[in-house]
Amino acid sequence: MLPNFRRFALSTRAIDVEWSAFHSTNDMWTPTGVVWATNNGPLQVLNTAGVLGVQKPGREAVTNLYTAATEKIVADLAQHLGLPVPPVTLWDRGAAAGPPRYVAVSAWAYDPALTWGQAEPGLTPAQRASLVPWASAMVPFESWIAADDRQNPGNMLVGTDPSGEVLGAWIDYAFSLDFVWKGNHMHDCRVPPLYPPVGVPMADVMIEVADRIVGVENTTIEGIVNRIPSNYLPRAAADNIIHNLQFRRANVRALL
Amino acid sequence: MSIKTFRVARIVYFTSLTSANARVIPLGSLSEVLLPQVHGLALKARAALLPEELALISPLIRDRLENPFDFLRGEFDLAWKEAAAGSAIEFLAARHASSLSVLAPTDYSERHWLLSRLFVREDAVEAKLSAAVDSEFSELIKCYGSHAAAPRKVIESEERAAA
Repeated sequence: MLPNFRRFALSTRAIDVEWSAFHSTNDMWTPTGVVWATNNGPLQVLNTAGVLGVQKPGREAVTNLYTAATEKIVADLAQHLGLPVPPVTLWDRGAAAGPPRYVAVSAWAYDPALTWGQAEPGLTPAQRASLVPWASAMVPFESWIAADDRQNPGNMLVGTDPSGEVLGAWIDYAFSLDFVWKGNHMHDCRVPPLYPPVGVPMADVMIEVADRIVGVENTTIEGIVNRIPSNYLPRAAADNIIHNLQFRRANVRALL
Repeated sequence: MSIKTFRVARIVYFTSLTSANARVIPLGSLSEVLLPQVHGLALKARAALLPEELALISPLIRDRLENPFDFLRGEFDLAWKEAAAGSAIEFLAARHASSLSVLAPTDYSERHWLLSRLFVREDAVEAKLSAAVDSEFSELIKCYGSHAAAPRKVIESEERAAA
């Protein structure tokens, strides 16, 4: 039995189910003026309920034109499997707002949260070891969705709960799914190294998650992908994602 | 044509990433200039935080942020050593995008004088870098209303091979 990997900040837990159930919550978001300089130029945005999120992409001319859809699909699949990827909702900024018009808003997983690179020097050996099940659970998932860019110490966030237990969240999936599978190619699955390298991967955790992936129904995959409007994800790319996700389920399990 | 830039950036700690009304702790500022003949980088940061500010910082990084300047000086040195000329702020911003953030750089409002010179001495560049990092730091403290006693500053510059 896997632990609860979605122990997000209370305000994120409050919106988790709703954000994951629909392609968009139809919230209106306002930029706060805070801008980061990481990939896709993410912006801090605020909705009328007082929720802060991160708009991706924050600027035009990003590497993956379907960044918003990719982030949304990965977040919804993770939510279905009970894995620690924070919820995402889509936002049509409208024609008058200028590019990028079709964006995603990601919730923050923890409050506060540090990147792996920032947190690592402050972790005790026990805290580091406690992240092994979390990172192990992400191995088959990231293999399934072809998240091949996990060498950046900013792709995982570390939070703490009131007891001091450390919690992980995995983020930034713009370069997965169709970005890797372009051209309708069927790519082999591979088992990526544990990210971040917190210890020896736990086979039982990886196998349980792989079994869950095998058990994801075709209709679930189709539902998650097909509810993304075509403005965010053209039909051909959506079909390619569905096809690969369905085909790769068994391969992920077989690899383990 | 050579690329010439003169930018500034802010370094902050968000005590809550999910609540718009939560306190933001100002930590420091950066300035970076890239000219055909000179590259320079400056950091100005607080040398201490108030006890009530420290209490709001994640225990995973609290000790290291007791003296923000000392922590950020290590990051500054790393960026100066490893980042390409003109990309030091982006290098640091990529490393720090969470509760502790180096925010995206913006063009320095007073950049035009320096960027329009055909030739400029290294000491003049350092003076302009210093003024820019001071100005950004002052705006940061004003924006977030903290008490910043005795901040510290470091500036590096180097001549570049003729472009």
